[in-house]
Order: sequence, then structure tokens, then C-alpha cells
Amino acid sequence: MTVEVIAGGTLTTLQDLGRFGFAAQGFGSSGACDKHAMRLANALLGNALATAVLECTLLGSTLRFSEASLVAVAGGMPTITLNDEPVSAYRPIPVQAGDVLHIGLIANGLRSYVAFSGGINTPLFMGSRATDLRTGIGGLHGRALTAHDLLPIKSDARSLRRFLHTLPDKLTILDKMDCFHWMAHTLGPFRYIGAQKTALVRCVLGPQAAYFTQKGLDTFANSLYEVTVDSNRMACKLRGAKIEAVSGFDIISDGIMEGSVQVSAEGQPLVMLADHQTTGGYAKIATIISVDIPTLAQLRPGDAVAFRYVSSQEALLAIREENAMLCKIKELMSR
Amino acid sequence: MHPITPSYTPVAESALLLSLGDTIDESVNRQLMHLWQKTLQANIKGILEITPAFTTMLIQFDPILTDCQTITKRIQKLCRSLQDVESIGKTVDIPVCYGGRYGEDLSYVCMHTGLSQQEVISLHSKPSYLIYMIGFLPAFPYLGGMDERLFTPRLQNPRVRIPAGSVGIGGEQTGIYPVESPGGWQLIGRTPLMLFDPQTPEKSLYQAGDRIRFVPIDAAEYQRLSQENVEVQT
Repeated sequence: MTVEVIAGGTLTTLQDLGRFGFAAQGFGSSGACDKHAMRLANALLGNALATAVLECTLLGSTLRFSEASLVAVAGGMPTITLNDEPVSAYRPIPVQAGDVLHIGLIANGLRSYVAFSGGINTPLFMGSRATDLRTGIGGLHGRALTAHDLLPIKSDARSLRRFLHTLPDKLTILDKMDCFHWMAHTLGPFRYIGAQKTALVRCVLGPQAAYFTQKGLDTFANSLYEVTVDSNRMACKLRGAKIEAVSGFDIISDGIMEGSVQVSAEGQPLVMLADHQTTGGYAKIATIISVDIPTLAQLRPGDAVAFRYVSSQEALLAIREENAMLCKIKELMSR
Repeated sequence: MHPITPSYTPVAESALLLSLGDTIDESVNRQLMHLWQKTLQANIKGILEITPAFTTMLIQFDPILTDCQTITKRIQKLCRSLQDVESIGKTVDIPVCYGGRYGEDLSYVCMHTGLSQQEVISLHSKPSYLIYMIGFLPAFPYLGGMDERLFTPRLQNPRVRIPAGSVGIGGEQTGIYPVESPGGWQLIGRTPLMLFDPQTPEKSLYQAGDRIRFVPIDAAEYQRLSQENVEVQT
């Protein structure tokens, strides 16, 4: 089965959970910025959670299907239409041969994920289908989607028929399990601090927390930071109260990971996202816990964010809980 | 050899940083690279990624499958079995055409250091440089061991586009740009070798722990070797 790209959108790339095992050669992992939404979109179709999806940014793609299929959209809330009729995110969407799916402007959040029943079937590149825009490898020709691109989809007509046959029952069970409530909840990473709409993001102390004064650590944990316009898939760059270091921000370069919070020479935090470099020379004050990285990945320039230190125990519990829920949905949908 | 005693810092619920201190030193780096390779060979359950650097390695793991303690214990065991090694890597020769249109800043480096072109080339191509780590870009080596007579400050205004294969000096460091990129180093030469091939990016000429030797070649040899690259590709 093939999906034809009619319009690519602002920045739509193929992503999965990322490319691991090549950091020593200087290759970052890439992968979806919001791995929660990416896995949820797959779970809704009964796909393996790690299956490759499309990551749309701000304005999504327009796609035409060569055969009947099934898709699901999760993440930032776009307007979605199928042949110009509105359809819902967070539900499996059946499509027919010739149908046109349009992922419109993302109104709430920044990135939406489109999963296809069976999954996108481009060749694996160094063990992954993720697009690495920095190096121009992986995905579809190492670049964002444009009009006339063709996406191969691994589809199976028989399992598709079975899925559609049992879909009403599955949706009823999802509803009874309170899954839709859980999904909706993950949509709103915002809290109000006074009148200020703010994302609250949890973190643990970073490997170079000792490079900062107590005042610096407090500043980071107690201030509001604003997402700047030069944020991208590499980093969420923030602006706000200056963080104080004991004596400079430079370290002997070491490995960085998704969620690492580096503090620049100007005392401003930068949170590493999926396309980050493998190593860096700035001290790292914190690491965002895995389950809260998606929240940051959904922030738009101008949005406010606050940080809160938690124990790694809390981080661990949160990741186990999220994983269990995603697996439960996936199991139910693939039954 | 004294048994090494790394420190372990938790970085997240899914990562820890192993450190052998904060001195950039060949023997420390050699121990680290040795430990890195042993860790890779040990195939420890749940480890997803290891990023070795000058004196540290960042170990990322799946927190559903394992935890910091389990990994730390396994690595402690590996540390005890580490043998003293002279060198763990290979030496890779990198042909370089110095000066002219391949190294526009060679004359500036001569002016700054007070050395002749021949002296700069000879000092630069004499050592075998240790690759302390690879980072920043794919195949970008952080090299140590440049002769201090060659130290030259970076450009005031970085170039927007540096051709792939450029060999440069930036302060106390020397290195190669494996892919076209912006940069502020003084360019003294260029290698015709393809250090990064997007078709087979995982096949690297060198890795951290190896050594690099720059071998001066003339423009004719540069042309001949570039031609070979093209033929291999097609």
C-alpha cells in the first residue's frame, strides 16, 4: 500500500524511537520529539509501539491513500479532515482507497503524530527509520516530506477487516477503562500559576549540578522560562532569570542525552530534544524525566515553562505507569 | 597497572555518567576507551547507548529492564579485569594537501607562529594524534598532541561554509571537518579522503582511541585520490 504526499506541511518527518548504538561515531539518536504521542498513535492501531510514524510540525501533511487503511493521530491537536469532513484525533480513522487525509494547523501544542496500521515500511537505516535532519540520513531520503513523495505502508487486508469488525467493541472497552480520559489528560501539560498558563516539567539533578551555586539551582527551579523562537528539533531554548554558576559554565565535553538541560554562557537553559548533538561542553544543571520530555516538545515559542526537581524514584514510577498504560491500549487494540 | 576506580553519577532514571576524573590525559583516555570496549563486549542487558568522551562515558539504559546499580556492579567487575595496554587503537594515515587553495589560512598561521610553510607542515604532520573522542558531527575527531609552536587563535569571523575534508587549527587544537559545515578554525589543508559517506555512514575510517597521522601530499596526488573516491562511488 502506498500513501502519496500531496502537501508536506511545515516540517513533516518520518520518526520512530530513534537510532541507538552510534553515538561514539557522532550520530545522535533522532526519533520522535514527543515519544508519548508517537507510541499512543501506534497503540490505538494495535501497532508495535516503536513503529515508524509521521511527525508533523505546526501545519501537517495532506495524504492520499492507494488502498483502504487505518490511521490514528495523537499529540498536539490539529484540525483533521478526511475528504474535507472533520474527523477526530485519538481514535482509529478508517480510510478508503483514494481518500484524502489532511492534517491541518495544530492549534494546541506543536507536533502531531500520524500512525498507519502496519507501519511505514521504508528501509531501516543503521537500525532505525528516524530522520536525522542534522546529518541528512534516515527517514525518506534524510529530509522532510514534500509533495509527490510516496510512503510505502506495510498493510494486511485481512487483519484490517478483522480490526474494523471488532472496533466498536474495542472503543467501548477503552471508554470503560477510562483510557480516553487518560489520553485527554496527557493533552494538557499546562497548569495555571496565578493567571499565567504554564507547563510544569519535572527533572532530576544533572551530572554537573555542582557547577552551580545554591542560588543558581533555586533560580532554575523557581522561575518561569519562556520558549524562544530559535527552538527546533535539536533543542528547546529558553529565556528567563539568569542561572548563577560557581565559576563558569564550561566543562570538559561529555555525552549529552535527550532531556539534558545545558546552561549557556549567558546563564540560560537549553533542553536537548531528539536531534541533539552527541556531546557538549556546557554544564548540565538538570535532566528532564522521560515522561515529561513530550510536554516540552509540544511547547511553542512564547509559551512559559517551570521546572520542579523530583527524585529518580518518582521518575521511574511515572515511566512504568505510562508504559503499562500504553501497552494495555496496544494489547486491547491488537486483540 | 593500578585498578581504576571510576565515579558514577546518576544523570536520569535512564542514564548514568561514569567518570575517570577531569584531566585530559592520554593514559586516562586510554583506560576509558579500554573500559568502553570491554563494556560493549560484555553486552550488558538494557544498555541502549554509550557515549565515550575525554574522561567519561554516558551510559543510557532502558529503566524498565535495568537500573544504575546493576550496571555499576557489572562495570566494577570489568574494571577489575582491565589489563594494562600500551595502545588500544590503530593508526590511520590521512593524506593532506597543505596550503594553496586547500588551506587558505596557512600563510596566516605562518605569520602568527613565525614559522615557514615547510616548518608548519613538518610540525603538523609529525605526531600521531590521539582521537580522544568523536562528537559534534559524525566522524568529527577531537585530537590531542599538537605541537605548541603551532597554536593559533580561531578566526575572528567564522566561515559560513567549510568544505568537507578541511584540516584546521583552532587555538590549541587541530582537527578535520568530516562534512561541510560552518566553523572558525584556521584552514591549513584538506584531505581528499571521504571521512563521512552518507551511503555507508556507519563505516568509519577511525574511532575514538585510534590515532591519526597527517601525511603531506601534493596537489596532483590530491586530484588523483579524489578521482578514486568518485570512481568508488559510481
